[in-house]
Parts: sequence; structure tokens; C-alpha cells
Amino acid sequence: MDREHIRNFCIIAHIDHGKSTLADRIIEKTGLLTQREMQEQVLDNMDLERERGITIKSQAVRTVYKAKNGEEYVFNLIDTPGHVDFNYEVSRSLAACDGAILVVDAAQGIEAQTLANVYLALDHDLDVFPVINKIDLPSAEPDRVINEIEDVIGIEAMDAPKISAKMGIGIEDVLEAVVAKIPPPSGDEDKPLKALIFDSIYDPYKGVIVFFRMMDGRVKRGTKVRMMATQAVAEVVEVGTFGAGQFIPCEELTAGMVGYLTASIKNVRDTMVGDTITDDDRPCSEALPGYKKVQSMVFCGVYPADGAKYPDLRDALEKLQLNDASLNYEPETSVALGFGFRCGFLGLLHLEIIQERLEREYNLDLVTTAPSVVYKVFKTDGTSFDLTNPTNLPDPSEIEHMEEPIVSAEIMVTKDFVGPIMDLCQTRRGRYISMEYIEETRALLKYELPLNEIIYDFFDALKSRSKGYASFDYELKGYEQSKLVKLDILVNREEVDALSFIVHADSAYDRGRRMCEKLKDEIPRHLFEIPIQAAVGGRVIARETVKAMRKDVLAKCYGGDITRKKKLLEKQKEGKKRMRQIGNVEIPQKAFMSVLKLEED
Amino acid sequence: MEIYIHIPFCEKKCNYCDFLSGPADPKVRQLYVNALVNEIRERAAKIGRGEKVTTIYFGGGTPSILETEQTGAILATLFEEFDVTDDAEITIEVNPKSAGGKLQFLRGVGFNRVSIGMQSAHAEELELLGRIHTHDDFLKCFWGAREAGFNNISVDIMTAIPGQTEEMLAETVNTVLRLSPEHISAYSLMIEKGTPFYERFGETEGPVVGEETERRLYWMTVDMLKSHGYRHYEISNFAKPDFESRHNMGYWKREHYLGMGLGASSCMPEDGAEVRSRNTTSIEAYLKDPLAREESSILTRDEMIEETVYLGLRMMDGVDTDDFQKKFGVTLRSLYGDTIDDLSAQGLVYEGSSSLSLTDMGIDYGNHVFAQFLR
Repeated sequence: MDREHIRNFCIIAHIDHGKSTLADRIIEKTGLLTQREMQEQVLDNMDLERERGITIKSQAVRTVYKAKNGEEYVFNLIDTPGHVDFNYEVSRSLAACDGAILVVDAAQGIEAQTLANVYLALDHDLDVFPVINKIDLPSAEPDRVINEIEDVIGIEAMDAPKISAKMGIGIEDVLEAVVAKIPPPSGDEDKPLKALIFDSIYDPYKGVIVFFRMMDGRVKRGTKVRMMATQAVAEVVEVGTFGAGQFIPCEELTAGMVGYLTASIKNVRDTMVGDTITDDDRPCSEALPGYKKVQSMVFCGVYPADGAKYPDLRDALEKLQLNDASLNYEPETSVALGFGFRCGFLGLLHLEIIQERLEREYNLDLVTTAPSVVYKVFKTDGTSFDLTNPTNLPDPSEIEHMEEPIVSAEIMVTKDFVGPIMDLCQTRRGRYISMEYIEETRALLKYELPLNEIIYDFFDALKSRSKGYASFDYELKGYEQSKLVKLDILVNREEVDALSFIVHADSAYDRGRRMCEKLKDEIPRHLFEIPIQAAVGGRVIARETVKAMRKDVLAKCYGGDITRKKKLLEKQKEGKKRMRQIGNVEIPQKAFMSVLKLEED
Repeated sequence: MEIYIHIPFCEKKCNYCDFLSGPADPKVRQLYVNALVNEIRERAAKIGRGEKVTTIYFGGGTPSILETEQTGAILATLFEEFDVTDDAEITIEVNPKSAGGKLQFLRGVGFNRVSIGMQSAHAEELELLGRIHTHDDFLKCFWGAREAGFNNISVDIMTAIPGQTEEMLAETVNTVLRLSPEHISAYSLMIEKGTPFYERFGETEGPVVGEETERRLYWMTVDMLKSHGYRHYEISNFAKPDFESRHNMGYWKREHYLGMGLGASSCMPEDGAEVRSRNTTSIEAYLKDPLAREESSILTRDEMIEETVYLGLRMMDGVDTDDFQKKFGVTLRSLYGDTIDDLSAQGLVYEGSSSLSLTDMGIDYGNHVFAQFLR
């Protein structure tokens, strides 16, 4: 297949605007799969993704389309993750494309992520053409949305296909537009091999399978490839392209094509997203731009609910890491929770996904501690270090100052909710940057916010204060000096290390109070009274009390009751098992998690 | 062994009652008695006359709702089919309203103990509870039982009734004390699912009167009864010396018992193992096949050990540790040393030379203590 008949593209959209459904339709219409073979959403083959309605790991599909001009075109549809946590992965996937279909919901119009993704695509010089989806909805206003796209984004939208991916309306138009509006790839087969890694997965039989886009040159079985950033070298065992959900080996991949290779590579850390593959015997002069080493933004302690499961948790993390180079972990110990790991994640969603995968795929019961961002601690002795676990904060007398990460955030919201959202940003120590109305009823708010103020429950708060209408996007801006303190929680006068966290001095009282209130509800009554205290530097700033239980006894137990009453006692005992003993207080594992969501309704 | 006979009928269901019982017309009652007599015969044929029967207990529902001939026929069948000892304790639960006129007969056919559901001396409490009897009915019933020759009478009273004050309860207790029954059960009201009380009070967790009040009422009752010569021998039961309910003690000491009638539970040896089982709870199924079982499980040694401890601890004398060792070949301490030390340190149990029992504080937190002994 010559380059003229290849189209490498992706679909970009705000969550729920119909990206995956459109991808399914494209695959279906290009005839690679029969209707019957189609799963609900072919691209999302992890259960978890399906339930969340988002795509986590980028993948690619190669289909063949016979256009109205009678010629066959190869479509490489590269799927991109749909969440701000995976911005870097998105950018690498975009770099592998020559164009993008922008899907906009005919009822909802442009959202914060639509904008963020479009700008990202334009930054990568992609040709973007819009598609208006969900025109079957009663509330659809395709013409309004078309105007909005032209006004706000400034791209041509008058002839945008009006479709319903769900109902299968207008899909032909999209396919023709791909042929007409997305340029064929450029590149030179005769130049040295240069290819961009946009994903890699670990397969127990084949080792790492690297997903990449050929820029220049050619690659086949036997080519000795070098990853330019990690310097890993390996001999190619197999190259091929992507069927829907399967790998199709082929002879050779050449400039412009999208495919995979295997080379008995043992670890995805050798094949980082964004790295450049070249030929070790005939390397290209310089790597592709844009490679970044992925940094963990959010850390938290992950502990097995049952201490005996520690080795299982370690094995599971090892396996997950094979597939996810952005997951970091190292062992740590907590007085309250025992042996576990401090894990680093791209963001809160990434954290939640890993946690769910550990629980679901590896059948582990977990307790996680409050997520923390990475603080920079500058000590009086002139040294500094990155703090990922609040427990490791030195004595205040040894600290010169501390810095915390700040993000630039964009929030799109309808006019009615501007007030509440600004209020929210203000309480989260946001710095107002600007506000512009992108149309009469909708505003784009720009704020700078400390990352530690948004990793807890900012998104939930945003949704609840805007009745679900606000959308949100952010990127790391840098570090700023800040007045930070460690907030400790004492249960029955014993410090619970797993509940400590770093907070801005001004929010310490409020956070402490809410922590205590929450814990009061979560910790069951004991035979004695339990004080719950929040303290900063040894000074108690908030207190609640779990009153003592006065009575727990069944008045009657006769012949007919024995089996039933025993079940009751067993339940009581079972409940205890899921608790952590701190001194003589039993704290349910739930309590450790509940303090993560402190927003008052 | 002991025998329990369940009579699942009553005139009207009380507002707090979640027992397997309800009103039924006389025809159904007669069919039920026929099925029950069949069950007795068939079970007896299966078990054989090996174990002597030391207690028989007619519970309900309201056993006194049956015609005297019916009750008599059931008891006669038991005498025929089982080896009932001469000094067996034979109890029937009666409602003060329906017992009138039947007591003489019941005594005559062999019952030697009656348990009367008094609950309260206050009309407004009786009404709230949905009882069909009045305080006068109760007094008549009590004296009627005495006249009939019952010299072992138990009276049930209830504590923690919504709205109950210490004064009100004290009056009820004093009324009972003046009658001087041999045995008193004082139950703290529980709000059970599926009862009218649950609809009405289910929202509140724990006792409607509040935990503090509930405990105050409980301990006041204990003090009053103890100071009048009653032995507090189980969490909710009191008796004059030697008048403890032998039947109920059997449950807590893990004697074998054979329950017959709708939904009745048994704990009997079967093929060398101990089996807990329950009869069907469907009246249709029961009338068709009175041997129909709803559930049945073989107890493991661990389960028997657990039961021995947590049922034993309900009695104020506690678990007899010598007996325990005889039965299981190990000491209680070797199995539960840490648990016992822990609970002792918290002041919840008391370890005597040959017993382990609840302290007063342990009574308040009985379930917590019991749960610690589950393996």
C-alpha cells in the first residue's frame, strides 16, 4: 500500500460525546468485522473502561475502506485516552496521527476537554475536521454547535457531517471526509528507521509489544532496533498491524504505517511512550521531539486489607507495572496499616484505576491512604528533597520552606454556575487568571490552583456545584513556595500515621475539623469513649468524640434462636476482621478511605 | 433429651412479635394437631426410645388457644411415644385471656408448670404492645393456675417498652413480686423486622427508650428481683431456688432437644454427629408432610465448642470449665487463653476456679463477648 492510500488519524472528544461509538461504527462500516462480531465497543477491551465509559490505554485499529472513488484506503485509527491524567499519552498518540476527527455532541456543544484536545491536536499540526454527533437527540442543535465550533475554535465546520454514531446515521460521510480531509502521511522509506512509540503492552508469551508510527525507513524481522531514550536494544521478532482486537503479522512496515513489533523485551520501561525507535546499525541523526519521562503526580500508600496478602499485592503491582510504565511503587511501612507500598500515579483517576484493577483482577482487598502530591522540602541545612509521604516530613525546625505543585486549570461552565464555581476555586486557594464568555451562556474560567487542592474531591465538588455542567482540564504549571503544615489525626490519643497529610496552614483547621467529623461517623462505638483529634505540630486544633456504647446484648436466646443468633454474632465478628487496630481502638478500613472525600454537601 | 412443641396460633398477633404464629380458623388448628400427632409418632419411630425425656415445653404462639382435648391428645401422644421421666418438667405457655377455664384440665393431663405472658401491669402499655388481655385477666389467670395446683408458675414481663419510666416498671415488678411466682422472665423489648413496631419505631437504632434508659430499667429489675430472693440465673431470667426453667437451661447447656411442630428447631444426634435442624415454616408444607425440614446442618467440633461457650455464658454461673474439658478433651484456657485474658482485663468476664462467667459489665456487652469466642 502506497502512502497516498494511508490515513492515520484519531478521534478526539469530550467524555461521553460518543468517541468510542463512532470508532465502533467506523470499524463496522469498513467491513473488518461483521455486525455479530462487534462487541458493544470494540476499542475498549477492558471491563473497567467499559464501565467508566472512558478509554484508558491507547490502542490502534487498522481497517480497509473502499471509498466512493473506487479506491481502497488503509485507515489507522489510533485511540487516545480521554482524561487529563493521561495528557502526555494523548499527546504522543496525537503525534502518531496526521489528522483528527473532532466529535462534538449536538446537544452539549463544546466542553473544556473538547477545547483542550483540539488545541493539543492543532499544536501537533494535525488537520482537524469536526463531526456533529447525537443529532437524533431531541435536544440536538447541530446548527448552534456548528456556529460555536467556528466561533470558539475557529475551524471550518459548515460542512461538518451531522451524524448519530449510535443510530448509524451519516457514517459514510465521516469515512469520505477522512479520505478527503486528512492528509496522507509524509516520510521517506529510504531514510534511516525513525518511529514513534505511542503505547506498549506486556504479553506473557511475546514479551513487550510496542505500538508505533513509522516516520521514516523500514523495519522487519531481524532488524536490530534501539530505543533512543532508554538505549534499550533488541532484535525484532515480529512486526505487524492491528486488526480489531488482534495482531496481524506482516513482512515489513514502512514509512507512514502504523503497527507493532515484538523483540523479546521484558519490561515496558524499556519502551517508554514517546521514545523513538531507530535501527541500531543505521541510526537516525536525532530522535523525534516531545519525549518526556513520565512523572508521578500523585502518591498514596496502598496496603492489603489482610496483612498476610502483602506478597500477593507485591506480585500484582509487579505485573501491573509490566503493562503500565507510569505506575511507580516502593515498599513502605505504616504503624496503622502494616506493610504496604507507596505508589505514584499520573493523577487521581489513574490511582483509582490501578486500585480497581488490583481489587478486581487480582482479588485484593485494599486500604489506601489519602493521596498526596509531591512537595519540595528545603531544609535549613541547605539540602532539599521531594516529599511523597507526609510521614517523612522532618521536624518543622529543620524546614526552611516548602513548595507545592501548582496547575493551570480551565473550567468551562454555564453562566448560572459561574458564581458557585468561582467560590469553589477561591476556597481551594485558586488564583484567578481570567474569564471569557465563549458564547452568551458559557464561560471559560482560568485559574491557577495548588494540585493538592484538586486531587481530593475537586472534581466531585465541581460537578455538584454546577449540577454536572462544568467541565475541567488542567496541566502542571510548576512549583511555588507555600505555607504548609502536617496535619496529624489522633484516635484515642494515638497518632494514626496513615491519616496524616500535608495541608496549607490556612485550611488546616477546617480540614482537621471535617476529618474528625467524618471519622466520628466511621468509627463504631466501643465499650469506652474515643476522642478523635486533629493536631498540627502537637497542638490539637479540632476534636470529636465517639460516645461509648452502652449496650450490646440480646435479651433472648432459646432453642429456635441459636442458629440465627449465631449468624448475627458471626457478622459482628466478620466486621471486626475488616478493622485496623490502633491501640485499643478498631478503625474500619472504610474510615481510611472516607476521609478522602470531605466536601460538605 | 428435651421436647419442644410449637403451637403457631394466636388470637391476634402482638405488635412486637416476630415469632412464627398467627390467627387461624378452628379447622386449620385441628388439621395442625393431626399433623403434629403424626410428626410425634414418626419422629419417635425414627429416634427410638433411647434417650429419656426430662422436659417438655409447649410454646407458641399461644398454646392455650387450643381446645383442651387437642392439647391433651398431643401430650398423651408424647407420653405414649417417648420415655418421659416421672419428674419431667412439663410447661405450657398461656395467654391470660385464653387460659381461663383450661388450667384445671391442663394440670390434670400432666402439665406441671405454666408460663404466663403478663408483660405489664399498665393498661396503656398492654394496649401499645397489642396484647389482647387486661391486667385483671392476668390476675385471674395467675390465681386460677394456683387453684388448679400449679406450684411452678413463671411470669413474663417486658422492659424498655416505649414510654416506660422507672416508676411504671417498678410498679409492674412490684405487682409480680406480690404474687410471688416461682420464676420470672424479664425481657427487654426488641424491635424486630416485619412487626408493626418496626414500622413504627424501626427508624431509631437500638432500644426505643434509649440505651441508657434501657440499661437502667434492666438493672433496676435485676436489683428488685434479687433483693426479693430471686436468683438471677440467666441474662433475662430469674427464679426462686431450684425453680430455674430446666427446659431453657437445656438450651444453654447444649442438651439434646427435639422440636416438633411448624418451624420448630432441634439439636439431635444423627449418625454419631450432632445436627441442628429446623422444620418447614410453611403451614401448607407442614400439613402435607410434617417431617419436612427447612434446614439442617451437622455441627463441627469447633461449632460445638463455640456454642458451649457463648450459650454457657448467658447463664450467670457461666461455663463449667471442668465439664468443658471432659466433653472436649482440652481446657477452655488452652483454646481461648488470650481471649479470656483480654476480656478479663476489660472487666467483661470473670474466671473462677472451675467456671468462666460474665461480669455485670459483661452482661451489658454480651454480644461483644460472645463474638470473641467464635472461631
